[in-house]
Amino acid sequence: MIILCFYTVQFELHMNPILHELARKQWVWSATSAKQQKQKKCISTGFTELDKALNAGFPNAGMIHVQTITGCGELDLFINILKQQNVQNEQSGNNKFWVFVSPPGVPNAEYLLAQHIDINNLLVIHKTTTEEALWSAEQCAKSGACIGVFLWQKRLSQLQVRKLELSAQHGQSYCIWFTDSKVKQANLPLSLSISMTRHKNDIAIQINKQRVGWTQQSITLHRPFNCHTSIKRNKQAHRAAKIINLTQQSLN
Amino acid sequence: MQFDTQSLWLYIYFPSLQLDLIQKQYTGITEHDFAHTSELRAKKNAPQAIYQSSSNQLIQINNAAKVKGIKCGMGLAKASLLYGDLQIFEYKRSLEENALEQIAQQLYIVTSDIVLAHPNGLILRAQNMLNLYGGLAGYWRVIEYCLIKTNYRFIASAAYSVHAAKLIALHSKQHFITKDRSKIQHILDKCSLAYSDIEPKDLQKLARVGMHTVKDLRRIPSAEVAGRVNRYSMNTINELLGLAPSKVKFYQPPSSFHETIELLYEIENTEKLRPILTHTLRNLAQFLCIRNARTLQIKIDFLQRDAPCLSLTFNSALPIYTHLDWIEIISLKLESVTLIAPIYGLSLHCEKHETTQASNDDLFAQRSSQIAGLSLISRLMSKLGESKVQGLSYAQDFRPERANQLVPFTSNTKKVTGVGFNHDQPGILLTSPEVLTQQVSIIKGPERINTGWWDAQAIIRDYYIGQSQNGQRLWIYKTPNDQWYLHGFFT
Repeated sequence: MIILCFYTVQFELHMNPILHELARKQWVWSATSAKQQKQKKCISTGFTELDKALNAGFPNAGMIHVQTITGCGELDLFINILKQQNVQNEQSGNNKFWVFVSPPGVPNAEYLLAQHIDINNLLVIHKTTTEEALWSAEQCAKSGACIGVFLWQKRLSQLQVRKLELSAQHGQSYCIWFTDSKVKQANLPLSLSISMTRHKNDIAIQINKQRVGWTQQSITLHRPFNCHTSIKRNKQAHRAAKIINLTQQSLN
Repeated sequence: MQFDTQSLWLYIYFPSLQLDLIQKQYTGITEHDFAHTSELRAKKNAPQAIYQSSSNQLIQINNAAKVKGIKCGMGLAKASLLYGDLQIFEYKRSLEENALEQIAQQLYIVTSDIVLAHPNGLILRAQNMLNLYGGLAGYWRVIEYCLIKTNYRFIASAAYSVHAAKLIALHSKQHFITKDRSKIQHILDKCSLAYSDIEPKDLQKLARVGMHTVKDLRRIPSAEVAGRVNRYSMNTINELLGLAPSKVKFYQPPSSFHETIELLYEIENTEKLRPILTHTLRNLAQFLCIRNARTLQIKIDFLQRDAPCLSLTFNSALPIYTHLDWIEIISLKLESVTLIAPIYGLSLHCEKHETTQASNDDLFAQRSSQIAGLSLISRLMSKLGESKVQGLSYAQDFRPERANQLVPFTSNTKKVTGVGFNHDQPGILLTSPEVLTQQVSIIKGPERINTGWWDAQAIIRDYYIGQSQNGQRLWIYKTPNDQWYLHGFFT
């Protein structure tokens, strides 16, 4: 399932039955369709640069692969985007689930409540085997009763990704797969694949693959730490930083 | 309850209830289990008989056995001499009683007053149904249709007393349905008293004075008969002759569902249980459908050979009734069950059910996803077990471990409301804090939490938000003795 890029005139695409078939499966796209993509239903990420790189935003459903180490603000980014999507559902009293499949810890209720997420709509599936985790992610994504399924897994095979992608498309929801593995798997049948890294206050996002469109240069989003409580960075913090350095030096 | 002597009654006699029950199981299985079809069909058509050990007689035989010359009332030795391969099943009264109750349940949908005449008869009070169905012919058509569907052989007769109807049904070999008193009297006169409820001792006494049929009884005044027989037999005779009203107790349909099935062959693979479960669940669905009810929980006992009975409870987060919904939940749970011994029977119980709430909601909005959500949770819970599918609860406590807890998922929890949540909290907390092993620069802090001194789980921690060399934002804390721990990630 390799994405082929053809600069081809539209009619040729329809003439050749193989090409036509590939186009129907969205494995082949023409340069013009990248522009058309903008008119399609896309979900704005809220960042102009990112939207531009993604040809208007995230696809409206499917599987998104996020390559990052835990703690770069990856969940925060997706929760903020999906939350806007969910506003309409919540207004009509239609409660959809947020599903966490084998997270690296326990989701923090206080953080989620501060994000205005009803924690009654939260489902945590943990202590499972890999097969069970994937099965539940698939069921959740397919059910149409979930806004997003967050899945933490090291590696997935092509078949597993394909299954999840199809079920997310079927249930019109997102399956967001976080991994800290640095191994690049180029040929996975994903809707979107990105890598995230953070340096101080900037998050760098590299688009490894998108369904219709080119891979892009890395984009930098400025996401400084937003302190909500009144006590800000102060002298004590500096003092603590010194202490921590000292203790670690002594450890080393 | 007592009734006047003018009521019309129907008696339905099932001559071979247990044998038909066995035949029914064969047909039930061959519908689904194609692997065994030919083998089972051969078994189904083989000569079969039901044997009552207390009287040493065959009491029910099928047509194939009849062809071999075997007759009801034969001893075991004679029958096996006539045909060596005769399949013999021991007579079990309880099986027939259960079957009878199930027939009564089915009939209850179309007729009101039913009396169980154990072990093989049903009495219906037809009189009060005649107006509803526009006469006896219409009523009988409905009853007959209902009985034919059950696949049991039966003989029915109508008369103006319970005992008379029974006598005619047992005496005649075909249905006798009429309202005409003279016709009923005519056939009743020919019936032998041997089939009636008169005690055998009294029957002998009556036979000695030449009274064999109802006609003989009618010829002499009842006062004279009364001198010869005991009180019980006299009551029977009076009812038979239409002199006294019938005393019966009507059947009340049960409020909970129980069904037990004995399998024809032992099953070792849970996958093969599916067709049998489907069959039983269909009955449950019908039971619930009639009552306009749904259920959240069913229990199935699997009877294992040489091992204790395996009892499993299946839960659904959403009240459901259809067999398709239940079979999905059950098969998911059964996938994780390993049988230690072959199964020879199973029983299904549904104790509680709730009335379906009528909903006038919009067809396409809201509820559909609510239902999808609840059925998703049932599916997950039945496959993974309840401990692996959890929700989150929030308590007003400064200790993160207390404030934030995983709890078994329930669909009806109160919405957590309130203001003033700490916005500077990490998205993911570690289940237990780990010792900090990397170099971290501090972004914010400290936030001191000194609490819990009242319940012996005191904590004194200074929380900081830090950033590691490779860009991770971490929630770390320092204990009073300068130990650093990692407690969460700002994901």
